[in-house]
Amino acid sequence: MVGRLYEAMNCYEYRRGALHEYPVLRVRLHNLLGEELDLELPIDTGFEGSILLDHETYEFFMVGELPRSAWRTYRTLVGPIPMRTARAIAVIGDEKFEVLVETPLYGGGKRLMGRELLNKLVLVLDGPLKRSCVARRREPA
Amino acid sequence: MTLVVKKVDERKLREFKAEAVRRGLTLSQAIEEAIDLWLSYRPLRGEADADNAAYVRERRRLEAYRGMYAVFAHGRFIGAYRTLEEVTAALRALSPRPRHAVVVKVGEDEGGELEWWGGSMRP
Repeated sequence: MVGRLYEAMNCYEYRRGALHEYPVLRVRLHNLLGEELDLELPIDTGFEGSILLDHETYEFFMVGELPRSAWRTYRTLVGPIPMRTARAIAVIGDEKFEVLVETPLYGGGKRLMGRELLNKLVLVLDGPLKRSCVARRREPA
Repeated sequence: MTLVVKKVDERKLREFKAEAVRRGLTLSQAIEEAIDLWLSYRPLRGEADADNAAYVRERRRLEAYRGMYAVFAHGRFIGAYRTLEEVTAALRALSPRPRHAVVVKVGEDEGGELEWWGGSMRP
């Protein structure tokens, strides 16, 4: 629909990439012991999962790991990548989401936020201003 | 010292050598790093193995808890809970505090294959 209004709530500066800047979001993650961790995660709409982490950061969430038979695998250009999968709570702005965090079973991994979580958010990517914002839809008066 | 290893999977070894080059390590440095890593993960892996084994043992009986979170820690079934807040309370009540637990939403956590366009493990 044209003419819709969005109000930016929390905005974050894009980070410098190899050639072009990329959008990020900040998220507070809780493991299932209730401990918390603040992270900045690049936005990756090509990643279908919720949150991908490096191996070291993932260890924090192993108190809520799914059984091995429920771990997920990703199809990529270089072949399938099996992941370890754990449950966590993500807090973005004033909203809480139950999410799955993952790290590659082999290799170090990297930090990303993917579509499974992004699709629950209203986001404004302001490229010219180089800012990514969690936004709120403003209903027409 | 010199180490000769036979019957190593050729593809895995090729990937390992390539990763060592990418990280600027000699093959022996990379192997030493891998040994350190493997040894340091050993206790955690033990706990994960025990929790997964407990899950496999109890799996059939979990049907009664469909839609709930079943928790396995210290190699045994701890209980099934309706909310994650209850899971947190149950885990925090354990002594010693676990470093690993299996938490499964019965009937819903089933794995599967997803996509990652252009996914790469390079940092």
